[in-house]
Parts: sequence; structure tokens; C-alpha cells
Amino acid sequence: MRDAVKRLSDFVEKRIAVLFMIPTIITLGLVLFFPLLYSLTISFYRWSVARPFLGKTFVFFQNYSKALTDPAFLVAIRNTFVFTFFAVAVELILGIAVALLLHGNFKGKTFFQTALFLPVVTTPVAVGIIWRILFLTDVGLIPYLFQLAGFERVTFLSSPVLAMVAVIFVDIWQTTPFAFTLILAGLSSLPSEPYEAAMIDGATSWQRFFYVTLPLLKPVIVVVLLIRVMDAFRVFDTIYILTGGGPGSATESVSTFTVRTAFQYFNTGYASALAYVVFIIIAVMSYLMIKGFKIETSEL
Amino acid sequence: MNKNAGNNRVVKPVASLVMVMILTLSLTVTAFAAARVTLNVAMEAGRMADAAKSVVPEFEKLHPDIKVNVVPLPYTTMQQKVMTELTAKSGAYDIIESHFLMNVPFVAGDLLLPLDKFIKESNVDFGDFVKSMADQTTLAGKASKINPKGSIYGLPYNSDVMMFIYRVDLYKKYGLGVPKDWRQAVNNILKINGSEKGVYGFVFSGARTDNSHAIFDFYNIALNLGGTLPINDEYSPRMNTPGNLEALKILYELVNKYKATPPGVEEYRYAEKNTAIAQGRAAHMTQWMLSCVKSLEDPSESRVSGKIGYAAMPGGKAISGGWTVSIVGTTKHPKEAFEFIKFLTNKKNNLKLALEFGNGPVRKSVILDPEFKKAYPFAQALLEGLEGGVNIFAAAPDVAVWPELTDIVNFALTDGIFGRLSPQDALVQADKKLKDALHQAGYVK
Amino acid sequence: MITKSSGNPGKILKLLKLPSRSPFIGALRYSILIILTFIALFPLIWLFMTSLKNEIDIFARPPVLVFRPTFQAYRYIAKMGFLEKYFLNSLTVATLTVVVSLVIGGLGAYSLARFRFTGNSFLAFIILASRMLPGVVLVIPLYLLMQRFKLTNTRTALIIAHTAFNLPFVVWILRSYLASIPRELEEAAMIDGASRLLAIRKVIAPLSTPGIVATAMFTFLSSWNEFLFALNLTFSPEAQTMPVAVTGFISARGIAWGELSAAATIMLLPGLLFGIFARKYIVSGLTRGAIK
Repeated sequence: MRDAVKRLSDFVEKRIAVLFMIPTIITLGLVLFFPLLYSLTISFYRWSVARPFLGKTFVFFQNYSKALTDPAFLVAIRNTFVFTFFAVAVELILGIAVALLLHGNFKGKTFFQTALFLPVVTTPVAVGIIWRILFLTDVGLIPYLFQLAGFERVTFLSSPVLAMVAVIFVDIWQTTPFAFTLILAGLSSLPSEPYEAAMIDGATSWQRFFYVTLPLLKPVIVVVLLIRVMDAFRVFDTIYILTGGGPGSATESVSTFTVRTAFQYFNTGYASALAYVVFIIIAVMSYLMIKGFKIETSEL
Repeated sequence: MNKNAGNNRVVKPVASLVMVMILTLSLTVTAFAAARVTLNVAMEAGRMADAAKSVVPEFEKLHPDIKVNVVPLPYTTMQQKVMTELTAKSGAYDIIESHFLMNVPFVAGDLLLPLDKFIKESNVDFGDFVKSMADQTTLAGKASKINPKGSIYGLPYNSDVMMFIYRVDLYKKYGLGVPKDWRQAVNNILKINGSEKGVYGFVFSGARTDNSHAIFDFYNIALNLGGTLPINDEYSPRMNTPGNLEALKILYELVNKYKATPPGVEEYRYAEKNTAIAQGRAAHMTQWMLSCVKSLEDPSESRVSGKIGYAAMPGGKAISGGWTVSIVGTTKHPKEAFEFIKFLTNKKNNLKLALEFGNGPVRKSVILDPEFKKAYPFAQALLEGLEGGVNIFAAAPDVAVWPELTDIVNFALTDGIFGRLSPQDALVQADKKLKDALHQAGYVK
Repeated sequence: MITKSSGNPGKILKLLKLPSRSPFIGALRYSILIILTFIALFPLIWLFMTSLKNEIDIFARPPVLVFRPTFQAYRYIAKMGFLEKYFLNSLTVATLTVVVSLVIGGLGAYSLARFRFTGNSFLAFIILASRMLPGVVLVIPLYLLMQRFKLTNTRTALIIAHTAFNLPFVVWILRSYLASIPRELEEAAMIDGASRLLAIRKVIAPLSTPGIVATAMFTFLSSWNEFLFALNLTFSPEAQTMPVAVTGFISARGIAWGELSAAATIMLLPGLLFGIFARKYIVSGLTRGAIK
């Protein structure tokens, strides 16, 4: 009898579990996964939503083969990798440094922590605007300062290399707080025993940092790395506002290129294929990182 | 009791549903009985929408049964928005304001009403519209694949033509004459660039994206050197021609060899050119005349008001353009919609909006009107410019993929101008990409 | 990790030995922090200053630091209905996104935190995977689907998209908060005869308030800041949110710097307010969202 009651309540419990899960599943299914599949089918067609009169032709993998040989898209992929690599690398290093600076108790800690944190809660579009105001040759403060220093024709947004530097810099400005916040949280929950052991062994503070702190922080750093790589690779807002992908194709990212193809040229089929290529790249990168750093999904 | 409860559970919702339905129905019916016809008009936010709004009260007084609702859309998203609504046949708009680039896909997709019948039956004086401009913007008079009968799709609403803009005071100072061709123009540019401190010789749109005007600035030169439009009537790309190359080389040299353009010119679009001239930092540009006059002549915005000369393009050929108001195919009120666009573009309003808002006049009678001439001393040059103007999109065959083609041309031109590719390579590249795009869209096999 | 030393931060601090060993290092720390703070804050201040300048001061060379502030730009954007249109749209979309995704995600999170059923870890994986989806891969099909259901250019479309995009994150964070509430508490309530729903309402909800607040703020900001979907799914003032509306000030026809920076300043306010006054919540959302 008790058994039966328990079984019954277990059954109800299980039903509640599923019941509670249903809205999430439906929402994700309808708004994420169904569109994802829909997009996959579209990517096999030559089709434009704005030009239905030009027809819809099934072209197998032609859109994909075009994507992988499209110089403009390849440039966008290269740019995005460059952007991701430098932005994330600097953010990680700077993130660790700032976290170490902010670690511990000192006067004004809350002020500094708050001030340095603020960029991460700013709207990316506004960030693009801010830096456009600062970088633009005609109105910008930064080119002006360079001119004062004697570099008459330093124009950030019209030099291919400097434009990329600017875009990377802006990303660093905005997302380093994300890195240092997580790393700081990791720092404050470090165990003290390894340090005591290191002290006893007479390790210098650099040694302690490299042989104790960094290894202990590795899980946090890896998570920051993973999340930042996934986010940086799909960068859109700031580039769209700051450079629009220019000059030339110097700061064109895979996202700006795909969005332009989809919503300005309305090459819907081709753009879907481009988007899928981006998706596959991100998925493969994430997979490699998860495997490489042996992260368990439950750790994320 | 159980049974009753069960019944109740069904009956109650059904009853309330019926009640709600009846209520909505009666509300809609009364609403319809009382309603006037409402016309939704999509227009570019800013001057053109404001101008249209200003005549609405008078129109509604004349037609008490029609209500006009002008919906302003920012230019950056307007094209996409209108495209989406029209292809979805959502019925969101009865009338749209559009330019040629937008009209082609709409006409090809059979989304606009041909207006020939309305025009014939009404007293619209279509012949009074500046002919070449009107033909180019409304697709009239040119039978093509997408418009086999050469029907008219829209009435001209706003026009403009590009002119050669220079500093009269500096021309006097250095004894220069208004150039007759681009060789002379380049000489003048270099003269001022070399002599007048702090003033660059020339400024143009060097940005490559977002409706950059690089393509216009380029063709203002190229058209006068025997250059060719991006594609010919067989949809073959033809950017790589001697005239185009010569024009591209001129721009390349002005930037790289003579440093006759301000630093940062690569960030310039339409407005930054104006600013550079208005601040006295540059001496020449080619620009949409009517839309730049205000910012150049208003002393609160400009340091050079009264010192600007407006001349026809050296060589005589210039880029022109214009906006039309068209009726959307899905409208339930075509007659009322036509009444409104007729009213909006009649002589009286065309003149009024030109004087009060700086709209570009579309009627000969307006441009020649003494009142207009008084406000715009160069009215005669304007008329000639409009009559001889080349709308590069309309002059080439109708394709529905102009936004992409324009970008390709802009990319290639700016690559060539700023030395990322040699001018020759840039044009070769352009042709290759144009061919690809036309193939992808299904225009060529 | 064997022991968490949350009990003795002072000890760790001493052992880490970065700060305060010598006055030189202390001064170095402060000078670096001050420089970093300047870099972090100056752009925001410059934006605000630009929004108070008139056109002449904006273009002035050398750039002016002292000028007579004008509220002209703010007046202009108020007059064009910026606040009652775009600000209100942003607010509506963000608030409803928060409500909808918290309700849906809260249930899902509870289910994940409290029950072991087949597919639990699979679902966890799916939720993680959906965080990897780049926006561009979804924005195209969503645009097409919304168009088919006549939802383009509505705030509903944005709420749906933002909810779906935030949901995995919401579920993830809330699950972690809920998991930290001992299940004995609600079990005790249920033994006392309360139904599960009542137990959730009376026991779990109050205890997880900080988690809910953190998640709500996070979701709010994420929706408030969202640009890609807003840009491509909405077109006119009835539905456009602020990030899209401000791009209207950057047109080929000119950049209205004053209006642009005034609008951007307004757009930054919620984030900055959260960041200054509720940083704890945002940080806890950040860390829980990223690390278990």
C-alpha cells in the first residue's frame, strides 16, 4: 500500500517535471530549433524573398560551394578570426590583470570595481556610437590628438589596419569587465592550502602566480575563453555602427556580411547558407575547446 | 451534479465566446459605418514626409470622406520595410514614396498599380513633369522585360540633379574660370589645393557602404569621359571600359598622388561632403543640388554662405534622380489613393513644397515659375540638368538587384580610388562580381 | 577543489601578496586603476558632453571641454516623439520579455533543478547548445516566419525572439539558484500538507528572490540592448526599439551628432543604473550564467 502511494506520487512528480518543462521545450522548439531546420532547407535553394518573381530553384550544395569560394566571405571569415583572436586574447590577459589588481581589500575598491564594470552593461549600439564620435576623422578626439602629436593623416576608420585595431579595441573596452568579473569571482573562491604549501616551499610571488593561481583559475579562464570566443565570433552591433565593415572589407565580419546579403541584397537562400557556415564554424570551435580543455558540460 | 458541472464547464466558455464575438462584430460594423477611407502613405522620414504632411489638412477638407495617414520611415530601414510589407501583401500601405531602385522590384513583382488609366481619365498634366526625369523615375515610356507595355508606375514627387559646386571667392582670387570639362576641373582643383592654405581641392563620397554616393561622384566624372553604366541592355557588366578607367584614375590621383582630398574622405557619405564644403575645408564637390543648398547657404550652419557657385557638370552630363509616389497593388481604395497623389503633385503643391520645404520641383511650370526663380536663381540650370540628367539605375536595364549591384560598384570603386587595388584591377573585379550577382539572381545563365 | 576558503579572505590576501607590501606597489596599483577607470569612464562622459553641445562645439577644433551646455538635442528628440515611441517600445519589449521568459524559464529551471528524469542532462546540453547559436543563423528564418504570420514590425515579434533567445540563459541561471535552495525546505512544507505549487509559491519563490531579480535584470538588459533582431524584424516607429531608432540619426543624409548622442545617452541609462546600484545582482547573474 505504501509502495503504491509512493509510486503514485512519484508518477505525479514526474508528470510535474515534464509539465513544467513543456513551455520551455515548446518555446525553444518553435522559435529556435524549427527555424534552424527551416533555414537549413532554404539554404539549398536559390531564392530571394523580395523577388519571388525570379523563382525558387533547388540547387543542392551550390550555395555552400559558392560561400566557400566567395572571396568576400572568405575575407569576412579571416577578419572575424583575427578579431576574435586578438580581442579575446587581450581581454583574457587584461581580465586576469585587472582581477588581480582588484583582488583583496583596499581603499576605494568598490568605486574602482563599479567604474571598471560599467562598460559591460552598456548597449553595444551606443558603444559603437561613442567610439564613432571619438574615432571619426572629422569630429573625433582621437585623430585630433594624433594630429597634435604630428601624425597629420592618421585616420582610424579609413585605414584598413587601424580600423581593425579600433574595432578590436572597442570590443576589449566593452567586454574586459566580463572577463575580470568572472576571474575575480574565481579568485575569491580559491583554496588557501596550495598557497600555504607554496609559501613553505619559499616560492616567489611570480612563481605563486604561475604555478598556483593560474592552474587553479584555469576552469574559470577556460569558461571565459569559451564564452568570449562564441560571442566575439558573431560580433555585429559595434562593427555595424562603427565602420559598417569598412574601409573596403577591412572590418567586415561574418555577421555583417551575412546580414547584408540577407537583408539588403535579399539573397535569402545564399545568406542562409552563409549563416550555416558561421554556425558550423562556431560549433566546431566550441567542440574543440570543450574537448581540448576537457570541460564537462555540467561545469558550464 | 457532476454532469451539470461538466455542462457548465462547456457552456460557460462557449457563451462568453459568443458574446465576445457578437460584441466585436457589432463594434466593427459601427466602426465601419462611421469610418472614412483611410490611406496609409509610407514616406521617407524628414523633409519629404513633413512636406507631404503639410498638405494633408487641406486635402482632407476637400475630401471629407478620406483620411490620410503619412507614415514616416527612416531612410536606413525604409527600403527593407516597404519591401517586406509589399511582398507580404500585408496591405499596410496604400501609397508608397519610392525611388527607382525600389520601384523596379515592385513593378517586377506586380506589386504596384499601373496608373495609365487613372492619368488618362483625370486632369493630371503628365506632360508638365520634366520629361526625362519623369520617365526615368516612373518607368514610363520605356518598354522593358518587367514593364512590357511601358506603363506608368507613380507620379513624380521630388527631383534632384547633381551639379558641380565650387568656391566663387577662390575662383576670383586665383583667376579661375568655371570648367568646361574634367581636365579643366582637375586643374582648378589642383590650383586651389596647392595655393589656398587649409583648403583641400576636392571632396567626394569615399565610404563604400550604406547608400554611399561614391558611385554618383564617380559617374559625374565618368559619364563625361565616355564612361559606361555598370551593365548594358544584355545584362553584361561593363565597368572595365576606357572612360570608366580614366575617371577612376582621376579620383585615384586626386587622393593618392596630389593629396587633394581631406584625410578621412573614405568615411564620407552624402552629408560629410556638405560639411567639408560648409566649413571651408574643401573647395569642390559634385552634389545633389537642391538638397545641399540649404546647408551651404544657411549662415548658422555654413561659413561659406554666399561664396558658393553652382555650375552644370563639366562636360554637361550629370547624375539625376527622383522620388515618386505610387499606389500599392493591394489597396482597397485605388481611386482615393490616386486623388491624393494627384493632389500632392499638382502644380500648386509642388511649388509650395519646393519653396517651404526645399522639395525638388518636378514640374516644368514650377521651375519656370517666377516665384521659384526668385528663390532659386539657378532655376534654368536646374531644368537643363534635370532634362539632361542620367539616372544610372533607370538608364541601365531594369534589374531587381540594384542594391547589391550598387554595393559591388561602390566597393570596387573605393578599392580602386584608395589603392587597395589598381584602378584597372578594381574595374575587372567589379565586372566579375556583377556577373556573379546577375547570375545568382537569375538574370543571366 | 578540496576546501573553499570563503571563511578567510584575509589570509588569502596575505598569501597572494600582490598589494600593499610596499607603498610603491600600493601607489602603482592605484595609478593603474585610475588610468583604467579613466579609460572606462571617459568615453561615457564624452558621449554625455557631446549630447549637450551644439553643432559648432561638436565640430570645434581643438575640441572644447568647457562650453555652454544646451538641451537642444534632448528637446528635439523629445519633440519627435522619441520617448513615447522608441523608449516606450524598448521598455515594453524588455519588460514583457522578462515576464514571459521568467515564467516559462522558471518552470523549466525548477523542473531541471528538482527532478531527475530521462533527458535531464540532454536538455541541459540542448540549452547550452542553443546559447552557441549565432544570431545570424536565426534571424533569417525568423524574419521569414514572422512575415508569414504577419508579425514583422510588431513588438510581439521582438518579444518572441528575445524570449527564445534569453530562455536558455534564464533556465540556466535560475536552475543554479534553485539548486542552491535545500529541497528539504519544500519537502517539509509538502509533508505539512501543502501542494507542490503552494510550496513553490510560499517557500521557493521568496527564497529565490535574489536569483529572480538578478535574472530579471539580466534579461531586461539583454533585450534592451538587442540590435540584430530589432534591426531586421521591425521597420517603423510602432515597433522599433531604441537601438534601431538611433541608427536613424546616422543616415547617408547626415549624422545628427547631438541627437545621436542624446539618444544614446538615454539608451545607456538603465544599464548604467543597474551597473551602479545593483552590480551585485548583475555580477551574480554573470557568474552563475557562466560558471556553475
